[in-house]
Amino acid sequence: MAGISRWGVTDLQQNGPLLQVAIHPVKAIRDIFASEGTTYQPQTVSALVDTGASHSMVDRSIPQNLGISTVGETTLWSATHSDVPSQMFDVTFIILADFVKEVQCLESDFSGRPFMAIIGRDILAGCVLVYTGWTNTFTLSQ
Amino acid sequence: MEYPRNRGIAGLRHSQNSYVTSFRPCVYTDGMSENNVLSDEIETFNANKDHLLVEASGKYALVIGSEVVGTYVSERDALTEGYKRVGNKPFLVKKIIQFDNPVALPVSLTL
Repeated sequence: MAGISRWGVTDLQQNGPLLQVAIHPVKAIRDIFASEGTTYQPQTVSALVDTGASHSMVDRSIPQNLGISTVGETTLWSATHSDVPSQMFDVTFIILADFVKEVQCLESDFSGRPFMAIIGRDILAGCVLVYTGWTNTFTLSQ
Repeated sequence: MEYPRNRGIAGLRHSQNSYVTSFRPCVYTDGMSENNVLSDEIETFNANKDHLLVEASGKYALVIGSEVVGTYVSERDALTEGYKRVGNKPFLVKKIIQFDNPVALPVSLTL
């Protein structure tokens, strides 16, 4: 099993399973950037592993900072909001250095949160997540 | 019968028209801005949806501007073709299904 990592966090119950991820454009866009001589700055941010999220999400500043364009749109709903538009972006999540996943993530406003991205079930579909509350750790493996 | 637009998913599923034809958002919440970058593409998709459902249900449509470029078995194939045609410019890749499934906003972003 590759990409095993155990993460000890200060307060797993309070903060949830947070880890650092690097977010890049997908390879097709990186190739376009390379051919144009365009550079981009990978976005290294805290991400929440959220089994309650069907899709991975990023703060809307991240696609802007990467300089990538939208490739879709969907709507979000919650207990208090419905019909809220959200653009979709094609990005690469790099987790644990060697776990690379291209996903079509949604964007939203993460201001005030201790994380700037959510690792949803589209990424977790290829992972094993072990939440060990009594040791205040979680393990995410590929 | 008219249903309020902000009744949530239950209201949407029971609206008279298909969900996609009533796609344009009417509720904007704090910090969530209107995004109409793809308004032409969405309009084009909706205008062609009936025949796309007949010809390519379950596939992914690639829409650029007012043109349905093609349909693809995989989402990645549609994205690849989109990048090939317009590069890093906005385009729409959308699954061809009768009703969209709105995505539940994670609780971690709502509390």
